[in-house]
Formats: sequence, C-alpha cells, structure tokens
Amino acid sequence: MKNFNENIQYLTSKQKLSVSEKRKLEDSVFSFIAYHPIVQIGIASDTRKMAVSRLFTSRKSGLLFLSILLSITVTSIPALAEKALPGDVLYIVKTGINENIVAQFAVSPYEKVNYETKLIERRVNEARLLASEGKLTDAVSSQIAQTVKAHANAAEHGLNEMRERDETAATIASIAFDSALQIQSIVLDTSSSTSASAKQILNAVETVRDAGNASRTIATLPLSSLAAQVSIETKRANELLPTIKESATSEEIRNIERRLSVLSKKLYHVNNFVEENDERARPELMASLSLAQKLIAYMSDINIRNTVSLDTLAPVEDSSVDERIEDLKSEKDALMREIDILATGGTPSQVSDTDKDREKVLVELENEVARIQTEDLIDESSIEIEETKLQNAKKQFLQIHISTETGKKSIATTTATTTSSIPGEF
Amino acid sequence: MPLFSKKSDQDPEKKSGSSSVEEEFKNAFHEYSDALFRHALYRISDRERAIDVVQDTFMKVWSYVRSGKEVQTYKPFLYRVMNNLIVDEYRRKKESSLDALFEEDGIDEGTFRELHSGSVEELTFMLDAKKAIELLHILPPEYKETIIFRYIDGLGPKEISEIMGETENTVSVRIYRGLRILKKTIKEREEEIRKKRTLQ
Repeated sequence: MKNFNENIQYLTSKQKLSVSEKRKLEDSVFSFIAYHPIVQIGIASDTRKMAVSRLFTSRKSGLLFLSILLSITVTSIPALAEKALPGDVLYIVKTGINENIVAQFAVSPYEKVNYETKLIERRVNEARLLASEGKLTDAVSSQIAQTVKAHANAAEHGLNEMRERDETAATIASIAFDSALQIQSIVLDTSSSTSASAKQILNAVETVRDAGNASRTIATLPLSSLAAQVSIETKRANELLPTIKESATSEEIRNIERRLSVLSKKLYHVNNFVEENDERARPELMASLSLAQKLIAYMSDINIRNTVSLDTLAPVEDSSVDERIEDLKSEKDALMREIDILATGGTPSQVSDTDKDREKVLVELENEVARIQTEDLIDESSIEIEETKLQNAKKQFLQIHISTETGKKSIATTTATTTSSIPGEF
Repeated sequence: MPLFSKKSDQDPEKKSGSSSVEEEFKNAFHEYSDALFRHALYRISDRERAIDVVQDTFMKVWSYVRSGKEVQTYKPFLYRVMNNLIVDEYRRKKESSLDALFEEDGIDEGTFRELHSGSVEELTFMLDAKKAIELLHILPPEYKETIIFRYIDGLGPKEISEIMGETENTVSVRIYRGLRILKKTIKEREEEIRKKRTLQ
C-alpha cells in the first residue's frame, strides 16, 4: 500500500494547467518580458550622471552651457527652432543644440538607436516639406543626405554595442531600424518623385539601408524569437486601431482592418511551422513583421498617413477564391475549437444558473458556426456572405468570452474564501 | 542559503548577457508553472484566480530580475513570492469568518510538547489521502498552506520555513496540527454516515 505522502502527490498531480491555459499564461508572461527587457541600471544611471556632468565639464561645455543659458533666458528660441527647416537661421539651434542635448540623455545603446532613427525620420520630413514648397535645393539636399548617413552610422554603432551584450535583442532592433528606413524610403519616393534633389536623399537612405546588416543577421534569429516579435508588433498594431478611429477616414480604417486580418491569418498558418522549427516559416514571419511595423508607423505617424497611401506603403494581394475558401475553413475550425474550449472550461462544482445560460448561448453559437458553408462556394458573393456570418459569429463569441471572464472575476472576488472548486463534501 | 541576492559584479561568468538571464527565467517558467498553479489552486480554490496568481508571480519575479538582482534558486523564490501574494490577497478579503475567529483566539504555536519523534507518521498512517485533500478547505489558512507545501508540493519543513519566514519548529507543529484536524474530521464524518445508515 502506498503511504499518505505518495497517495496525496499522486492524486494532486492530476491538477495541471490545460494546454490552452498554459499557452495563454506563457503568452502573457513572455510578452511582459518582451515589453520589460532587462535594464542595466547601474551602467545606465552612471552613464546618465556622466552625461549630465559632461554638459558642464567637457570640452564642449562652453557651447552646451551657453545653449542651456540661452534656453533659460530666451525660452521661446528652442521652441521656435523645433519648427525650423534647413536654411532657416534657427536650424542650427535645432540640430546643433536641441538635438544634441536630448542625445546626451539617450545613454543605453537601445535608446541611442531609437533616437538616431527618429532623427533620420525628422530629416526626411524636413526634406519632404522643403520639396513641397519648392525650396529643396541641391546644396540643402546634399547636406541632409550627409546628416542621414551620419545618423545611420551612429545607429549602427549603437546596434554593434547592443550585439556585444545581446545578439537577439540587437537583431530585433536592427530589423526595426531597417523597417523604419524602408518606410522613409517609400515616403520619400512617393512624395518627391519628380524632384532630383529629393532623389539624392532617397539614395542616401537606400544606401544606408543596403549597408545595414539586418538582412545578414536575420537568418541567425531563432524562429521562436521572431514569431514572438511578430506577435508583439501585431498586438500593438491591433491596440493602435481604436486610437485612430476618430482621425482616420472610413476607407483608411477598412484598409487597416483588412491588413490586420491578413496578419492574423498569416500567423495562424505559420504557427505549426514555428512549433516544428521549420525554416519555411521565416520568410512568412519576416513579411508579417514588416507589415505589422508599417501598419504601426502608418497609424502612429500622421505625416506618413498624410503622405502615402496604405496600398503603396504596405500592399497586400487580394486572395484568390480558393485561398478565401481555405481561410474560411480554417477560421471556422478554429472558432469551433475555441467555442468548445470555452464550453468545457468550467468546473462541474461551480455550475450556476449563469453557467447554464452561457452554455445554452454557446450551443446556439456552435450550431450557427456549424451552418457556415465552406463547400460548393463558387462565386465571390457567396463567399462574402459566409465570411460575414463568420465575422458576426466571432464578434458574438468575443462578447460571450468577455462576459465569462468578467463573471468569473466577480465570482472569484466575492467567494474566494468560502467557495471551493475542489469538492469539499463527502 | 539566501534565496536571492544583489547581482555580483565580481562574477563575470554570470554576466554573460541578458539573454542567459532571460533563458534561466523562461526555463523556470516551464519547470515550475504547473507546480505553482497546483499550489495556488489548492490554496485559493479558484482556477481562474490561481492562474492569475501564477502570472503575477512570474511578472513580479521578472521585475525583480530585470532590475539587476540575482535569483540563486528559482523554486523557493517563486514559491515565496507566490505565498506573499496569496497571503496579501487573503488579508484583503478576510471577513468575520472562521479564519477571523481563529485569529481572535490566537493559534498557540509556542509549545511543541505534543510533538515527538514519529508523531506525524502516526497521524498519516492510514489517513485517507483523497478525503484529506477534499477537506483541506476546513483548515485554518496557516495549517492549510503548510500542509499544501509539505504534501502537495513535496517540500521539507526546512524549505517551507525559508519560504514562509517561520521557524522549522513552527512549521512542524502546523503540519502536525493540520493533520490532526483532518484525521479528527474524517473520523467524525465517517461516524455520522455510520449513524445515518444504522437509523435507516
């Protein structure tokens, strides 16, 4: 006969997280890690202190100190300088003083890369504005091209520093940098196609992009890290959508939604390949990452949205009839599985009237989804009807899911100390 | 042995980059998430809340790790963080219940006269594990958590004492008294069932 210790361990070992619960938990915890990377506090704070002290003690102290005095005494100048364009008197204040001061506070390699990327975007915007006013001369254009190269070199230097500490993080940052350059390149190409001077800047951006090593290092990035990054960026893109609903046109919203749907389908299809570490997933993931980053840039930067259409920035091919039917089938199956998981997710000892109602609604929804046709769909209009049914079912499922979660939380709050999901009676 | 410490600057081997720290953390997640969930489930008796507590535990530990501090052994550290979270939650929700009554009377844990070598073994001998699990909820929280640590998580009194911040003696007394309540209650209930059958 087994003893008490062995028996109790044997009986309780059956209590485990289900596969979906574990996956959800893993997603939440690992996303948290991704959003909160390790910070080298000691190094960062020391460097930050040094940066502050450098403002007052280095060889450039005269210039920097004067710039601070200038900022304090004539508070309006730096603010005015922010709007200055190449050729303006205050442009030197903007690039030589304002931007240098801010740069002193970007101490970690990650912050440096981010800041240098922002400065490249700034220069491209300036060039675009000048071009639109017909003021982009060859001399100014050459000056901006040089500055773009200098910022790109600084960003590359930051990436190399990152690479020494964390190869994976550096590769992900280099992909983001490359993506930002690609977006700027598209923006320039679209807005200033006729200007020869603008072409000079466009060439500079493309040269910098070609020289970058994002494409070389991408092959070394583990598929799981790449997939996690795609998932994070897709989530971010989805979160951004409600924030622009008021400022964007309905056409723009439709275009964004269509691409988000493409992204979610791509992720669904590529998931199995990632789990089996199949390299065929890599190009799909790269395309998805690029699409997600472009969507984020489009939604978060009004300049980009006003300059370039989403069809130009992130073109997506219309799916063929066969592909749409295939997608419809897989999405229908996925929804049926989700409904099944939600329906069987409760513990028998906690069945209440609300649970019974929910079960009834879920059965109805399951029947509704089962009725969605995926066979004998010959034309686009019949596919569209079934797609709409599926979208409506998805929305309904989401509502049930949210109400279930809310219900469980409130039950848990009121009865946590008295209710037991483990049978408590003989 | 300390469960955690400030990151040592003199150990370059361990500073091989943030990726190895992340790797260790992720390994700990894969290794202990089920065990932590099981512990939380038996402590708070609510599946959804148990998952939330496990999630909060890992997030708290990651916040600790990312700030540059080192976790020497993940298992006890995770258990300790989770124990604190559960205790905090319990304190917030405590009402005038059986638990509060126990607290008013005060649980006397100062005397260990009732403990002698083999006393725990005596109690667990022939104790029905299935019925004991079903009755865990009747135990005062201090006894319940100690029994869960000891028998469901399979930790020794010394490890439990480090996680709970109590002495090893206190832990042993709680295990003994918890088991005694379980055995007594099982016996009483069996007696009631026997009486009912006789009356029928």
